[in-house]
Amino acid sequence: MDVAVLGATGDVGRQVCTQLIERRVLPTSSRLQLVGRADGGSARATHGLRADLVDAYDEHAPLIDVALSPDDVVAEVVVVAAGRTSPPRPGVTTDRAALAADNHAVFAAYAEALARNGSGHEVVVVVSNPVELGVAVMAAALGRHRVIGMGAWLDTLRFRREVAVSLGVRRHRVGGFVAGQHGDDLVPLWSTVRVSGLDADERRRAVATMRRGRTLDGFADEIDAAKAVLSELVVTDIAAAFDLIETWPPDLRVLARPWLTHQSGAKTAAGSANATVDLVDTVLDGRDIVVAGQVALDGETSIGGRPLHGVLGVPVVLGPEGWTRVLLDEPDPDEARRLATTAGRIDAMLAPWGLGTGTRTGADASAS
Amino acid sequence: MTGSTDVTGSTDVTGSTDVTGSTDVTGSTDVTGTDPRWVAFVTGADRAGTLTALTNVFSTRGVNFESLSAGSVEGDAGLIVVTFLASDRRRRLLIRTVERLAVVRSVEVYPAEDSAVRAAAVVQLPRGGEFAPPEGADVRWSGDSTPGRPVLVEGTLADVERVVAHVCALGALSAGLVILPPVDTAPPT
Repeated sequence: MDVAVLGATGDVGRQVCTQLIERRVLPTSSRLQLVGRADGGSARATHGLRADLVDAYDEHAPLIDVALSPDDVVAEVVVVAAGRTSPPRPGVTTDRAALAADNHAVFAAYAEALARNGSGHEVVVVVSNPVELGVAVMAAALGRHRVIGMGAWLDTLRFRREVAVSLGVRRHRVGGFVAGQHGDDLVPLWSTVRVSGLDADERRRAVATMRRGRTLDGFADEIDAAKAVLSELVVTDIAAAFDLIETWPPDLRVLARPWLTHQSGAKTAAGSANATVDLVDTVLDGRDIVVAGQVALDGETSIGGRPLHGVLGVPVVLGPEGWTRVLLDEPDPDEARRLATTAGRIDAMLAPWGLGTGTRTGADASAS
Repeated sequence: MTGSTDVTGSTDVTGSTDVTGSTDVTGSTDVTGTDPRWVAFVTGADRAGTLTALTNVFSTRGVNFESLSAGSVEGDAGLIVVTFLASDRRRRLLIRTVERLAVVRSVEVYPAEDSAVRAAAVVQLPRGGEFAPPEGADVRWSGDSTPGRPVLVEGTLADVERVVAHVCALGALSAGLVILPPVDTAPPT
């Protein structure tokens, strides 16, 4: 099976291409399509990347193809890493609305081309931000079940790692999911946490210890306070900033550590690519596996008896044809409240493009 | 990819083509049981790996070739002709994927029953047998079969396949078929 990476020469796109080859996700008989723009700089860099990858991995590289037009995208799995990202500098905050305005046109151009030329079975993994907008645009053009956003899976892997660090175990021994919106409105689902080797009572005590008596009702304020402290430290003592994060509870670390990493200038390309390649590998593998991802819901799951519609990060079953079922049990009350608020914010963000459901708002959701 | 088209020999130069129509030795994936049959003319680079790259596109998607033949090389490229069964949607995916291969210069694909798809066959009947095409087969032929000499038959792929099946049923000593390079450059379907 073939994989196309839109925005292949960007920080994340390049990492995705590299990891797809290094992790041997693509056999030598498959084709990795590097997709860029036809303008001079992007075209040159895309051809250059192809040469670099062949140079590095000739022994086990797949066939590597360069495409410079949305109409030339041909693959079973399409990774959307194209578009603008927020500048990785101290003090620069990510204006997701502005990012959305810039990247909507990119999403739309590729979505229309895939709908026009595609096989009707491509699975699209959206990496670019706002991932919820990318999912909404692609899902409207290609069908809901063929499109999944990577953000919730990346947040989930980070959550599992932070929980694992707090418990002194390796990440693969921790289960659990992060839902909601990728970024400040993520929703760590503590109720889904499972730890290999701990029974239910031991797990409840461990989770209570890690949460330190907090609920998600105060999470937004904690995030704002954390960013304020880190914004000062990042320019004066970056090492102290990272050390400070280590003292915080796991769910706050899930957000704070990558935020600081981005502010540091290092970006989070390797982690983002790792989560993306996980999803690609799952699709290519042919097995149905439970992951978390941003998907366009149409009432497949509910919170407090209210069916959810619109784009939201949730645990789903992912397989070769895309996502199928949503595996979200009734969350704890504080999780449900935060999820509902987040759903309303996503809806409001999508509204300018006519992609919101129009049935939920922040106030509406808060009341639920 | 250095094979040459041999329309004069008495063996089946297309290899896997089932000229008798009695068995499907390739086991092509026909997911609906009614998938149409296609003929693709692929111009590919004359170098090692070209056929492998082409066949991988089909095999990894569960589509087998009904037949595959490599034509003569002109310059640095040669013609590969494949026939396969696939829905129209899968045909588009396969051909778009083949077109992305660096070793492929061009691809033309036609429905197998398209009159632009021509074929030639060489049939050899037992001594004394007089060649005659089955009723309704619009083909041209040359040669006298009665002394046991081979006869060259030309026509649309569908008609020539009917001829081959017909003479095999009559006890032909040998019958081979090859799909000819397209001469009509009209846009394919």
